[in-house]
Amino acid sequence: MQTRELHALISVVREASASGFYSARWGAAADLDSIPTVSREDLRATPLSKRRYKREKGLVKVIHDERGAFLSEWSFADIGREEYGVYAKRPMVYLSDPHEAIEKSMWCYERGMLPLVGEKDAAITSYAAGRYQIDSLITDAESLAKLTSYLEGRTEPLDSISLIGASFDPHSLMPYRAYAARIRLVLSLPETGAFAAAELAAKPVFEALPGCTIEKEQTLIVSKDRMLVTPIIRYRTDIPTHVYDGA
Amino acid sequence: MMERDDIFTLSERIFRDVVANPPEDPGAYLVRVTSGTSGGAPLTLVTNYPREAPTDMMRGGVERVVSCSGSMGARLANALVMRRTPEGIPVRVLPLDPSDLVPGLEALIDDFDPQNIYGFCSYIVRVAGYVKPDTAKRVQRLTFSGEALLPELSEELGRQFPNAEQVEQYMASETAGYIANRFCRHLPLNHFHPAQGVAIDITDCDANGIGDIRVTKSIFRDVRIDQYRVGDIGRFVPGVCTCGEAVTIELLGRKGIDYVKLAGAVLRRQEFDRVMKMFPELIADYRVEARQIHEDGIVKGEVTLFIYYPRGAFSADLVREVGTKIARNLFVTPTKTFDELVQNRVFKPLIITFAKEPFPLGNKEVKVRLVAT
Repeated sequence: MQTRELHALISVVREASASGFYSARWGAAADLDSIPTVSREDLRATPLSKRRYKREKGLVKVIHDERGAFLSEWSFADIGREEYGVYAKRPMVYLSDPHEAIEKSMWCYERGMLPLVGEKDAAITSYAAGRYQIDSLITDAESLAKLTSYLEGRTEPLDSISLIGASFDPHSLMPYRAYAARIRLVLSLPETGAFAAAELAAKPVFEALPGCTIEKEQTLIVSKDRMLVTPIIRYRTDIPTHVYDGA
Repeated sequence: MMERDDIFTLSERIFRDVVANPPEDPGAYLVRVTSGTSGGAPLTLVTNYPREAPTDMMRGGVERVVSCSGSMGARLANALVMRRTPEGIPVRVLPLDPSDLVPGLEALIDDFDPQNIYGFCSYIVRVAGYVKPDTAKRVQRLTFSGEALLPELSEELGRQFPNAEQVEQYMASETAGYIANRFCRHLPLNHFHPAQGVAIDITDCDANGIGDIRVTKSIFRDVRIDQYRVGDIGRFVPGVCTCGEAVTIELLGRKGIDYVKLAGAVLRRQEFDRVMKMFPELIADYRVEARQIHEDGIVKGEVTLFIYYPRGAFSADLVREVGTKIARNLFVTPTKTFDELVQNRVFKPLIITFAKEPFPLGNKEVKVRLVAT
C-alpha cells in the first residue's frame, strides 16, 4: 500500500531539521504500516511554528472546531496541486468557511482561472454569479442550498459543480443534478486538502486522488506523498469509512 | 472629467470585456462585487492590481501579514498581492474573518507572529485586542486602508504596538485600488503622496484651496479613468516634501457627504434622508456627526443627530420615540439597522440634539460627517 513516493517522503520527514513533529511521534517505526497515526489533536497541541517543514509563500488558515482552533499553512504552489475542482473559464467559489473560500479561490488562480469569490450574502453572490456568467461552482452542501434559486433561474446547466466536504448526503444532493452537467464530490478536510473524489450518485464510489493513500479502519486514515508545510502522513480523520464506501 | 456614473459605465465595459476575453494572466485580476453601500446597486468590478502592490505590502523585508477586512474580496486581494511577490521570498498571509475574532485567537496570532497588520482601521483595532503584548512588540508595521485614521486611535495603537510604523493607503475600489500612500515618514496623518501611475487634481477649490479630489490612472488594459471625482475633498500641500516628492495632498473627508465609514458600518446620507422623511412634521432639516470612540478596549461609533425643528425642541418622550424609530429603521449595513448594532455594542445609542436655527448652507454642503473625538 505504501508508494515509493510516500516511502521517500517518510524518510525525508524523519530526518528533517526544520521540525521534529513527526519524528518525535514515530520513534523507531520506519514505514507506513508501523508508524503511529496523528490527528487534529496533535495539530491543535503543536503550534504551526513547530510543525513547519518548509518555507514557501502561501496562505495561513484558521481552522475552528468545537475543541479549539489551530493554524494550517499551505504554500500557494501546493494549493494549486490539489484536486478541488475542474478547469472552467469562469468559476465561482462559494463556501461557508471563509478561509476555505479564499484557499479555493487561490486554487483557481494557481490553475490559471479567474474566479469570482462569493461573499456571505447569498443574494449578492447570486447577483454576481449571473453577471459573471459563471460556468462552474466550487462549493459545499450548505452553501449550495443557498444558491438554489439562482440555479433554478439559469437557462443552461453549469459545466460542473465541485462539492467539497467531509461527508455528503447523496439523497439530498441528487436534485442538483439538473443544474450541472457534472457534480463531483470531493472528500477534503481543511488541514489535509482533498484526498478522494466521486461522481454524485445514489451510492457514490470514491477513489483516492493521485498522491493520496487511504487506509480504512473505523475512520479514514489519509497520507499524501508530497512534502507539504505540515505533511499529511497517517492522519486519522473523523470520517467514518462507510462514507468512502458509498454507504 | 468623470463622475461615478461614468465609472459605472466603464466598469460595465471592463466586465463585459473580461467575460468575453478572460485575461491571460488571471493572477493580476480580481473579480468582486460591492454591496452597493455607496448608494447604488451592487457593482461588479474587475480590479487589475499594479505590479508595485506586493512591494508596498512587503517593504522592509516583511514576510508575515495579517489581513483585516470584513470583505472576502478584500482579503482575497491581499492574498493575491502576496502571491505575486518574487519567487524565493516565503511571504505568508493570514486573512482574518470577523468569525475568527473569538477567545483563543491570541495564541494563534502569537504563533503566526505577524510583522504587518493590514486593513481597515476599525478592524485592526478589533484584532489588536487579540494580540499579546510581547507579540505586539514584534509587529513592524500597521497599514491602514479604507477608513480615516484618527489621531486618538493612532496614539492608542502606537502605545500597543510600540515598534510598529503606521502607514496609510488611500484607495477606492472603483478606481482599481490605490490612489495615494502615506509611506513617507515625513507626512502627518491624512497626508499622502500619489501612488505610482496616479495623477491627482483638485478642482472647484474654495478660498483655502480645498476642493474635489480628481484621479487619473489606468485601471484595466487600455482603459483609463480621467479626472474622476472620487467624492473626497482635499487640498494640495505647498512645497516639496523632505523625501523629495513634489506632490502632497491632505485628505479632508467626503464631499456631500455620500457616506461615512465607521466601526465597520456605513452611514449614508441617502439612508438618513429616507428615514428622516418619516417625520415630515417634526424634522425640517438635520445634520449628523459621527465619531469613533475607544471604550473598553474596542472601537465604537458614536452618532449625534442634530435636528432643526422650527418650534424649538421635542418633549423628552418624543425625543425617545423619534430616536427609537430612527434607530430601528436606519440601515447601516446591507442587513443591519443602527439599533441592531447598538445591541451588538458596535455603536453607542443615538444622541439627539436640537439646533436653534436653520443650518447654514456652505459651498461644500455636508450633512453626514466624521469628526475627531
